[in-house]
Amino acid sequence: MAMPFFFFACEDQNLTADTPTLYGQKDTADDAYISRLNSYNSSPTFSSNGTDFTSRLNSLMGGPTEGLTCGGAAGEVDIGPDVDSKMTEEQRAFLDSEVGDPPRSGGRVSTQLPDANRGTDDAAKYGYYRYKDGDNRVYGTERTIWRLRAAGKLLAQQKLVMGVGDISKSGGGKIPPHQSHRNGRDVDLRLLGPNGEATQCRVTNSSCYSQDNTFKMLKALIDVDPKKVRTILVNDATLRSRINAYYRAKTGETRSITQYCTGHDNHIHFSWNE
Amino acid sequence: MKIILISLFTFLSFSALASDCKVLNDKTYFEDMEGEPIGNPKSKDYRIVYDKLTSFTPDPPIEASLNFPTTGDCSGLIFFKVEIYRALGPDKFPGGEGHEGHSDQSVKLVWDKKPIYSGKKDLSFKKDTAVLKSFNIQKMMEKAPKDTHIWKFKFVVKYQEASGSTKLFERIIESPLMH
Repeated sequence: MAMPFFFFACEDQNLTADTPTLYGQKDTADDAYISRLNSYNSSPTFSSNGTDFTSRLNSLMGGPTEGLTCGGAAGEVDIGPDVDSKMTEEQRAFLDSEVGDPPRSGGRVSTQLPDANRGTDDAAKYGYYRYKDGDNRVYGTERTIWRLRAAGKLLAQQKLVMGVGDISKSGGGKIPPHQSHRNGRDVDLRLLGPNGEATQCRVTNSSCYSQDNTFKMLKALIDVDPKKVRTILVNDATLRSRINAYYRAKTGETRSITQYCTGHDNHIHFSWNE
Repeated sequence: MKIILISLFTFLSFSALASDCKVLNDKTYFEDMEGEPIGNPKSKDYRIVYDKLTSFTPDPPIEASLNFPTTGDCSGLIFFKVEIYRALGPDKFPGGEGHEGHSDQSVKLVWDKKPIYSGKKDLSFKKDTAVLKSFNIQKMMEKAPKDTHIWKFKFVVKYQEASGSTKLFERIIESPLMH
C-alpha cells in the first residue's frame, strides 16, 4: 500500500512572516481560516504564526511530495515570461488573488472557472486546465470554484495539472447528457497521466493513466473541503479503496465516498454536498 | 516511343483508379470540430487536437463532423441528404440509485418517426476523407423534450459514388445519460 506520503508533513517548518509564498506574494493567514482548516482535521495541523498560504496547503496535503522541500520558496513555480491562454487579465488577477477563506456554501451558480489552455504556463501555475466545453458549462457556486482553485494551487506545487470538464451552466439547470451538474456542485475531471498532466485516457490504459497522480488530485480536492465531499465516481477499484481509506482517516467518518458507475472509466465525477 | 508508352500506361492506370471511388462505410467516424488547444498559441509547439468520438458523452461536442474515409478518386462523390433521428428515453437512470445499472441496455427508447434534421450539409475533403459538417450536437441534446434524454442518435446519409450508384448509410452513436 503506497500510503506513506500522506504523512510526509512539514510540521517542523518554522516559516517567518517574510517567507515568500508560491507566487511571491505574502499571503495573510488569519486565525479564522486556520481554525476552520483545523476543524476539518482530526488533529490540528496549522498555526497562525507567520504561516503562509503555501505552507498551510502543504500541511493540509500532508506536506509537499517527492522532489519538493518544505520551504515556501522551494515550491515556487516558474511561470516564465510568456504566459498565455484564453484568460483575460481580470480572470488572471482573480486566480492570482489569495484563495482565502472558503466562501459560504450554496448560493447562485454564477462563478466561472477561468480557462487555462492545456500545456501552457497558466495551466502549470494554476494547477488546472479546462477541456473542450467552451465557456458555457464551467460555472459553479462560489465555493465550488474556490475548491477547484485551492486544489489547483496544491497540485501546482506538486507539478500536477488537473483537467476540468463540465461543471454547470450559468444559473444552473439541466445540461445534457448529465442528470446532475445542475447546481454548480458537480465537476467532471480527467484522469492524470504519469507525467502529472490530466489526459484523455481510460483507467485500463497504464501508458496514459497514473493511479498515483490521480489519487493525489482527488486527495487535494478532498483536503480543501473534506466535510462537504458527497461522492466520487470512478471505475478503478484500487483507487476507490485508497480514497475511501484516506477520507475515513482524515475525517473520522465511516462512509465510503467513492462508487463504481457505468461510464466513469475515462473520467471522474466529483460532487460536493453543498 | 518508350516515353510515350510509359506516359500512356501511367495515364491509363490513374484513370482506372479514378473510377474506383469507394466509401469505406465501416470506417466512418465522428470528429469533434471545436478541438482542444494544447500549448501556448505563440509557441511553435501549439496544436489543436480534434478527437474522434466513439460516443457523445460524457463531454458532448459543441459541433461534430461526420467523416467518410474513401479510396480512389472521389471528387465526383455527391452527398444528397442527411437525416438525424433521436432515440428518446427517460431523463433518469434505470435501476434507481444503484450505479451499476446506468447503461442504456434496459431503458425503453422511442425513435423519432420523423427526422429532427433533414438537409444537405457542406462537403469537404481532407486527404482521403469526405467530411460532412457541421452538426450542432450540444444544441440538439439541449432541445430534448421535457423529462427526456436523447440516448442515441441515428444519422442516415444518402450519397452517390462516382460510379453513379446511390447508397444509403446509417450510423447510430450513443449518448447515454451520465451523472
